[in-house]
Amino acid sequence: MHVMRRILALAVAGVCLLGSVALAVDREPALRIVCSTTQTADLAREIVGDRCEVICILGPGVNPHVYQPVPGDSRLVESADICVQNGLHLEGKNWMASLARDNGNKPLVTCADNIQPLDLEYEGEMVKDPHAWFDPRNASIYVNNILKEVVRQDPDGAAMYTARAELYLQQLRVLDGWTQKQISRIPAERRVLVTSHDAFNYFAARYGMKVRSPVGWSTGSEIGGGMTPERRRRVVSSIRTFAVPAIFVETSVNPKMIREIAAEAGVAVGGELYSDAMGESGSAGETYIGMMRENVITIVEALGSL
Amino acid sequence: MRFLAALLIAAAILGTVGISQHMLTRRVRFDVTRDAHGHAPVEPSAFQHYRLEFTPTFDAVTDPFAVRLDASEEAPRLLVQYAGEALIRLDRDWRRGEVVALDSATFAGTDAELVVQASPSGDDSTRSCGLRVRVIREDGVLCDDQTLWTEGGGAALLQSVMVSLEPILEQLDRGLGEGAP
Repeated sequence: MHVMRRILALAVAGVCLLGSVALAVDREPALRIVCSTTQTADLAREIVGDRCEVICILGPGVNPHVYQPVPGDSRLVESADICVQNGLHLEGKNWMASLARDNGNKPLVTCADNIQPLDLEYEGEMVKDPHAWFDPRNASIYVNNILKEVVRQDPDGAAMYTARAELYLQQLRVLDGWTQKQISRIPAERRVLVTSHDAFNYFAARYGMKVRSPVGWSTGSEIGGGMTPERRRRVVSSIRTFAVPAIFVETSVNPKMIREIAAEAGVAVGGELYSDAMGESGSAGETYIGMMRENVITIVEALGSL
Repeated sequence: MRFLAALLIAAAILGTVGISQHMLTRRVRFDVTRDAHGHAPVEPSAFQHYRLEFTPTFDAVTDPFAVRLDASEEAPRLLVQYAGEALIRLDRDWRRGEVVALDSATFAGTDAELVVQASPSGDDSTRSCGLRVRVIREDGVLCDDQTLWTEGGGAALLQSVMVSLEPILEQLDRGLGEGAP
């Protein structure tokens, strides 16, 4: 009788094992997508759903301008079917493009392809502003660039990817309209955004704001980065000229300098803005739409109050 | 005895699973003389030609939030679909008040469901924008005249609209009155 029970238990265990293997095989992702930044990973995830695996190299709050790849990143990229980067040198020294090239020459989607980049002047040189996602119309171009490559790599899922993209683009449209409405609550003369670095030019251009930053477009020192006394003087002067009630720190940049400037100019720190990276998992800024929404609310709260 | 009972239970479970799987995956026989709702197919003689007219209260531009698998392809300013097929696709800028018409739309029945999509320009996007839709039978009788509205706040116009294919009675009366000797 004991022997019979053992056989029965073994049979049950075998069936369970086979079942779990079958389930595991069934859930094999169609594609493995490795993204450089949290924003690009979120957009990719919105398009592919659970059909593909999306992995992000940078964690929440990590600065892509100064990131140094580690050996684990190479292994991730080696296992990828598609790599996704922002482009326009957001990834300092083009680290994502280098990883994709050096680990099997992986297909690389540059999300900022086909946008109309804004030019920034820094020390007499013109550079392309990489923070294009702050205009939801550019985020829409990011989505289309990712969608195109995903459909090319997995044509069987094309209808599903396209349907998801359509829905997400409608959400971006709503975000854009809502943001216009919210920003209109700030008196026109107060629509000046002073932040740690020049991340918000696309946002400002879209919603009729002026931007001032003491650092320039990059927070590192690799391309056009670094605070200068002249920049700092201009920022303090702008704050006084426009009678800006508050200035902002960024989640991915050391807030020390902005706090010093706020003290010097006699204004408040209006809060933290998500800039180069989104928020922690579980936070309101853990998605692209969430980070945009939280930024707008923070800005309107700080600048809109009379 | 216990072993036999276990075997019987296992057979019963397997049988139930098998039957339910069969029921879920069985092939459904369709009656080719009926559509999915049990209606008989429409005779070709029942089809009529209609003129569709669209007039916006806004300037329509290419939609920045459209799906574009080809970067060189611009999103249409007006897209009208019927039964999943594009009836009208306008790829040039479209000014407010300008009528875009399709003369030979073919429909059967008493109404038709159209999916209409248009994107107001940035200047228009913050207010509600209207799009007038008229359906005119080939003999000139007006069958439908309605206006679709966006919700404002940057929303594009994307609506599924049921248009009537039967004459508007008031218009018929007026027509008879005017044409009567």
